[in-house]
Amino acid sequence: MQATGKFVIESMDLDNAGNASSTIKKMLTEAGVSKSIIKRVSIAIYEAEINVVIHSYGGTCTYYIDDEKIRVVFEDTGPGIEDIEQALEPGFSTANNQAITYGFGAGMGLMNIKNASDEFDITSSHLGTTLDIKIYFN
Amino acid sequence: MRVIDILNKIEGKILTNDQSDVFFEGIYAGDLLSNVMSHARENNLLLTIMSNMNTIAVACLLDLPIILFAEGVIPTDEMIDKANEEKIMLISSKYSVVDIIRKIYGI
Repeated sequence: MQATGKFVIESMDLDNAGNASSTIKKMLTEAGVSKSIIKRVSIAIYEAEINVVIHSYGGTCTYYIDDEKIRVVFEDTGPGIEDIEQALEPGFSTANNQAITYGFGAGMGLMNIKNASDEFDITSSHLGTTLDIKIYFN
Repeated sequence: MRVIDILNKIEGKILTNDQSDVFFEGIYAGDLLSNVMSHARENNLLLTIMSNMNTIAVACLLDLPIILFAEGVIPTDEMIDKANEEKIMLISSKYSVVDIIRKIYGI
């Protein structure tokens, strides 16, 4: 299987968050990828989409699928994560009230992404955050 | 468990098109969607008061066949349409989360 594509993620567009994860889930299901792997991919992509929606000025999600893995890169345009180690701590959150009203802001998102991924790389500055994750199918 | 076995106990109303008997395996109750994402298991019934499009998205991603809204929460028409499209059953009950669990398990 070879596939690549890109989704645009708008800031605070909570109702449409989930487009990337649901599209990719359907593609992997059709390709016969195992359910346990699809669950991990879904969790990682969905949480990352939500992070871009509720914490950034907007960004993109680009995916690359081949026979052995999926790589997904999230890039946003800021304002960046001040302290990544702190952001990875379960329970730490800077989510605003609107995000909390929608059921987010538990401070579990980044940790959930890391736990679901085989490879996890995040860099951030005030110009934006880049999250690069890989999940292998075997 | 089957929907038909719990519907009367919780005075639940099915809001989606498919009124047939749907099966589920255990319940996950919670409103914080990141917790639902990390802890709910496939075929769980999701018991929640969190009613927005993201609730449907999470159920869809995790293969949760039923969302049961407590405390009389009624989802929007847009949510019901999306749930119909994704073949997820939506149910609403007037009881609280704790009372629903008590009624289902007889405790």
